[in-house]
Amino acid sequence: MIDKKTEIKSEASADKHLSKSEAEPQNDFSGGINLASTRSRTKIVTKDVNMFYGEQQALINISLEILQNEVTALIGPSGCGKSTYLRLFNRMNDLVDGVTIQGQIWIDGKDIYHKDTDVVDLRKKVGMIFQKSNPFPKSIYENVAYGPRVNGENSAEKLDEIVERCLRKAALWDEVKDRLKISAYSLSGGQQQRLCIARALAVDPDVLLMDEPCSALDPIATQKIEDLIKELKHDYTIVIVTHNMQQAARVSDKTAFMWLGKMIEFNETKKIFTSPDQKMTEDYITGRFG
Amino acid sequence: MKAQFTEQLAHLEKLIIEMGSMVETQVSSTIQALIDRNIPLAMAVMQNDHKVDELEMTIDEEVLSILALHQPVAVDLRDVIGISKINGDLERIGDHAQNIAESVKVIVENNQRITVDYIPKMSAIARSMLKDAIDSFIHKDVELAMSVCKRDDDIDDLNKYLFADILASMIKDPQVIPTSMEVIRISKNFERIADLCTNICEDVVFIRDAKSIKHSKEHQKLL
Repeated sequence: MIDKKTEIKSEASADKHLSKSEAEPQNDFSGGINLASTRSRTKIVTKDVNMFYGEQQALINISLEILQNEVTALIGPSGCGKSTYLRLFNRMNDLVDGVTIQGQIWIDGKDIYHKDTDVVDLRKKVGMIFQKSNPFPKSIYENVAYGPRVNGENSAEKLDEIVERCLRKAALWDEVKDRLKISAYSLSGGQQQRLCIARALAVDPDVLLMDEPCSALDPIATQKIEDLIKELKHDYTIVIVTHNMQQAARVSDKTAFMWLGKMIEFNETKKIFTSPDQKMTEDYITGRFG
Repeated sequence: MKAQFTEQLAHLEKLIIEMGSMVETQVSSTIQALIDRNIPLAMAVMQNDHKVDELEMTIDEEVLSILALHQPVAVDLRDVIGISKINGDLERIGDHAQNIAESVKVIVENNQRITVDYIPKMSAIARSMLKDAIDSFIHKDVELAMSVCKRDDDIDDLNKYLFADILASMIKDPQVIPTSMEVIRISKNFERIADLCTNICEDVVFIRDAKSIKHSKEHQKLL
């Protein structure tokens, strides 16, 4: 019988949060990377994560360590679990009926599936950009100001500062500074996507999750987003799902290849795209399957 | 798209094998011209060098086209980059064959004689290294490639011995200097052919195993 009710099983004990040092799993996917030297930069850790949609297992024993201020790309054929895995980081899968999650996920050493975790706070900290831009039916200004306003920021001066800062960070300010009050829908697709990034930045996140952020964009708009990702990684940790392998190669520091819910290989992007350790990774990135 | 890439890569491999075969013929012909003191054959080698140059440019264009259109990665990328480097090495080997042919012409026209027996040995080693280097690429045979690298030391030694002997003979009898200069040139060209064969074999190891064994102790370790 499929359990229709969302069930979250966190194996972290309910009565304690793990400290950062305790949150370091035995990582089988270090890919030759010296993890000891990167401990202080660890941002996200997942250990033995399994996820089920009802009885169907979507993720199988995934362990991974994502470093701060790096771009990590998730690649793999459709249905391999990339987006499912990405959505675990801000608990978006909680919204899906019949989902069961096992294993442990820490961000900054905190178990995000702990019963005391405030999901709203988590989602402020871990922003998400989707495949299709989804601005609110409001002005450009209001799209960016919306999050801070909901969080209680009412000072017009402060909101102006946030809107300008975030639009600048999203490389959109120069294009829209004279028309902040017009509808966000009047922007081009690429501009709308950068507006969504600005909106995500406005609530001051640490982590940005991007689920195929360029798949609906033309090459010029894609290049702008890719340039933006390179800039943003100085201030944020970015995890990006992409079907475009050249994009993964261009923008990411590390790449994880997934297949049928399993993490097949995780390594430096340069290594993955020149001499991957796993034959399956090589076959996938060279187009021999998938 | 993948089928198109596979087809284009197969065509590139066919071209580089054709290049290898053409260069092998040039080296064999120049050696034969040396043995037989055959000026027409030496002239033919010199005249045919432009064919090697033209094929090199065709392969360069093909490599560029594959990189631009398909952006290969992993083993496919190593294959294309490896072929591009092998292409350059083969073209240089062709130039060395031409240089030897020029020396043969000078020696025969001036009725000079090569008395040192190092040259036949060096030519035999260089020819076998080239053949095996090309075979190691065709079959992606790393063991064969490594055996070619090993033979490079033999030809280096022979080049050194030859130079020492020739130097002694030039000091003893300055009249042999013109012939000796051509012999040194021939020896140096065979030695360079062997070096370039080693480069080709290093590229074969890179293509198959993604390991760069150039300029490293790894090279010696594997031998």
